Amino acid sequence: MRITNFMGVLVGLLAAGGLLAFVFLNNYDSGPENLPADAISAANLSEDDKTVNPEELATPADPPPGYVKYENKKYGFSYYHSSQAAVTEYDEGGGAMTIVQENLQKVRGLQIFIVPYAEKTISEERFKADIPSGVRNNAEKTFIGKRGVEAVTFNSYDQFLGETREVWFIYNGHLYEVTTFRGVGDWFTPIMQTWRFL
Amino acid sequence: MKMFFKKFTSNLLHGFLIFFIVSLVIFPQVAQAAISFVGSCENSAISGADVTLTLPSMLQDDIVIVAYTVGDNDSVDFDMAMITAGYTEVADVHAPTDTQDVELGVYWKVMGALPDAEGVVDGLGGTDAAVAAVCMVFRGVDTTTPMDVTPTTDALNNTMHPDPPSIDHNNPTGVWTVIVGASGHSLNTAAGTYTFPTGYTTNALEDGEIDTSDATVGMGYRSSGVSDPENPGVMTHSGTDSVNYVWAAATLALRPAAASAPTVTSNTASAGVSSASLAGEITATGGADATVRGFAWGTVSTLSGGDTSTTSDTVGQPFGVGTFGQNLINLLANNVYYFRAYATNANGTGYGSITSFTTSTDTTVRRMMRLFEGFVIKLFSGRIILFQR
Repeated sequence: MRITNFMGVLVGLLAAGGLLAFVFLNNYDSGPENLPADAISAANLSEDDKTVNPEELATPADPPPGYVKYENKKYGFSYYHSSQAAVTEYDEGGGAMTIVQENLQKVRGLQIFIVPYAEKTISEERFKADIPSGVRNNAEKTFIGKRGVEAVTFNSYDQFLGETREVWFIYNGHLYEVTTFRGVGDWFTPIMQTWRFL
Repeated sequence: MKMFFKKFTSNLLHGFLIFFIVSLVIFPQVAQAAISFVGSCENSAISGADVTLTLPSMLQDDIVIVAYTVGDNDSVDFDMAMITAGYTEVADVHAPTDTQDVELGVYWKVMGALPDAEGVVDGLGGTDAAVAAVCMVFRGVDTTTPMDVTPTTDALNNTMHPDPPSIDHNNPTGVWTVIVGASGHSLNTAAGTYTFPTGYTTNALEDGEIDTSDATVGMGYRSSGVSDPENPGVMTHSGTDSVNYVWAAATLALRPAAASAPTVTSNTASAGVSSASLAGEITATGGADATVRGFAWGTVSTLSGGDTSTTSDTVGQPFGVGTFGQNLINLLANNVYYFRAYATNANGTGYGSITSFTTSTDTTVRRMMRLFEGFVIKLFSGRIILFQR
């Protein structure tokens, strides 16, 4: 009798521990410990998106599971993004538009600002008009889309977002400025690799 | 006695020293601009017709000297004149009557803000008369009293080689001497040439015409080594001389202008949203090239006070007459700015008038950060946290 009672308690403890472990692991994305009470959401800054193979995301004709296609007929481009993200378009006037992709739960997002631009290179005047901080570090050349449109990626600073990562390029008479948080890991690069000009 | 002479000499030396110092103070040496040669022209006509001279390109305050001759055999003393208005006559010389006659007229005119392109002389003498004219343009001449002294004239028959007379300058420093000679002949060939006297050969020119009576006129100048008085010497005509030929001549002394600060104009600026291009021009050096030029600019209409900036350019100095500019950046959009050009030489600084320009309205569409708009974003232990704004 005494052994039975002991075994029962032991099993119960193990079960409870396992349940707790299960709950804890499944709620991994809920946020950090000691999260401020009024925080809406939180995410690791460098959390990778482990659900999709980046190489698989870059080439398919259709969005893989968990992803949807955003297509902008006005400026002629498309790219894939997480189905959990919401996309909003803002008409800024003067032929310009801002496209915002936000995933509040994972605190992920990017902004695409498109403005008419007749010059072939990005002038200092244009740069300072859109990045008043003037911060531009670690600039590197990259390419966008299958057409290999030359772009520049660099680290910058925004008074609201903090440190940002920027990808700027000129295409078809428009300047594109893609902005996200700096240090976002590999979820951003695969997204940009799905960019296509229509 | 010894003491007397010693004291006398000492006092004399002191007196000279005081007089010298006082002279420098009361009668300071006035700086003078340098005269320069700008260009020349020539033309001729037959049958006593008017002659039109195409003048060299000139600036305001340049002086043009025109000399023309009428070769005739009517023994008439013509009243020479310029058709073009504004000229001052300094000589109307009729050579003594001979088989061939010649008359010489000499005139000058200081150019205004819009310099003349042409000068027309009054052709005289009828259908058998040759008319020839020459001009020279000089810069840096005193525009109020261009003739240092009254020009001298002379004429003679029995030879066609002009002998410009001697001239006694008022103040020979910086003076240029100009000689004019005319020959009346019947060579019936081309106008011929003059061999000018020593010191008068640079840029010297002549022109002539042949008709029933022929005429040649020439002009030369001396810019250095001018004597006081100056006796130029003979202008030797290239043709075969004859006792039937005649000549007339005049000698002028050009007084240099007093040196002054450069004359500067502020030209129209071009402006964008946040930049502008200023323009200025040195239109007269005042006798000495500028060593500095630039612009004063700002938002105050009088260009006084703390909101005025000055640019200065010394690269490539000294600066003569000509335009210059300056680009400005980082200006405020849709704003009125004032500026004026300036240039400085050894005699002072000349300023253009204050003028203004307005930058364009900024219609640039700028990026707004809309990502997570409405949230406050903070980093916490390596994580991004959103707070409702």
